[in-house]
Amino acid sequence: MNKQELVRELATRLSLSQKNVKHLVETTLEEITLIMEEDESYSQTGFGSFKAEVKNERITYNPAYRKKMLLPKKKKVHFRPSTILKGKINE
Amino acid sequence: MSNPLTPEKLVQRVLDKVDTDHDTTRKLVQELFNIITEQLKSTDRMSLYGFGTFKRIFVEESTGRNPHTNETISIAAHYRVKFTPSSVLAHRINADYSHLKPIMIEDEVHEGLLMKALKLEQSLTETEAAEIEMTAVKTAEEPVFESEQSQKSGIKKTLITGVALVAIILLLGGLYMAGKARDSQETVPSEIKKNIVLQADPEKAPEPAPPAAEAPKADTPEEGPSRSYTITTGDSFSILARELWNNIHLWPYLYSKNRDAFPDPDFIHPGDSIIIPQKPDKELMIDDIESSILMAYERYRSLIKDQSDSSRNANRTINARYVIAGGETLHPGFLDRYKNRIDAEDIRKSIEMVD
Repeated sequence: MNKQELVRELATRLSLSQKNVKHLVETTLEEITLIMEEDESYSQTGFGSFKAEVKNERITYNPAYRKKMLLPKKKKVHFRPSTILKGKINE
Repeated sequence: MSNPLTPEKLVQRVLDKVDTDHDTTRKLVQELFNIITEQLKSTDRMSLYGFGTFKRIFVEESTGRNPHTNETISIAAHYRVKFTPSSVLAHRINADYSHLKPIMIEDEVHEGLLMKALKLEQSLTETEAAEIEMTAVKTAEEPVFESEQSQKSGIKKTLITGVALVAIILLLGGLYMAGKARDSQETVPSEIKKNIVLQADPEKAPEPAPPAAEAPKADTPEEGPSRSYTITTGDSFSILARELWNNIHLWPYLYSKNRDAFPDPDFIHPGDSIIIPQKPDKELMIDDIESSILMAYERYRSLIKDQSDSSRNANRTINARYVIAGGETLHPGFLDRYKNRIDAEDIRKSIEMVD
């Protein structure tokens, strides 16, 4: 399902115009991103939580170069599914 | 970090930007995640362009262990949800650290040491295994000694005799050379020692054979009794030097006697035949040893220069430093004496190695 199909499906379920729904979906996802950028976490009830986590630098081995590499510190999106979601997809 | 933001807060934030009513937004957010869940269940995948992809991944059954009770439990096969952020999202989140780039660690000294230790360990187990085979037949003829150690396992016993064999060869070699007996070897029942000496002497201890040749050999080492040796798997000049002469740093001397046949000191193949000279005396043959070390070092340097695109050059650089570091260990002051023939960077690195 791509975003267009998602918008169509949402529009029928909520009986709204596709234009409005598209705008709302874009804004919602943008807001979740902004929350993570602000170092906050977002928890959607029954789905899971989104959070930006700082990963420390680490040493890896690159077999192509046959060299060790120092990967820098970075921030990653961490999604943690809720118990309800885990239960649902394992039904 | 504060408590996670709830859907209610998200709705508030969306409402600040979009002109719509509260109820619709709340329902829409709820329905959005409902659809994602449904899609995960039906098609294992839900992709939101510009945000990321949710995937349902099958995890096979596995066994786990409770770290508190050490109890083994079976984890049933199940699905898990994985979220992969899109590159746009990943870059936005990582904006704070985006200026940091992966660094290739050029200095491989640490890894080089580990690799070397690993190689030595492997070669040790190989040679020990070979000697266990040799002695296994002989001990069978001597049931007297089996009773001595009957409580130990058969493997352990043969291992000890294998170690004893090496110890005896080294001991004899040391005794005959300059009268310098090495008494730091493992303590093994003396009866076994004697027994093995008698058996091993004719075939496995050729070093002690020419004992009187010490003094003249210092002048003309090429004429000293040498013998031929066929390379087996796992051999290298350095390992042979360590096994034969009990000193790994003497390997350039061994290599110097074979340099014409082997242009690259790292490349010897099983089946090749090399000449093993008499053990050089560390004190008497100082010039020979040092010139051989310099020769090996310069051989590495010229190989790096000639094959500038070879993938082995990093190893060669390290080996070259090991060679001169060995020279410094054998004869302190070596690096200082030959500093005009050695690259300054190599001197610095090898001093670190010696320390």
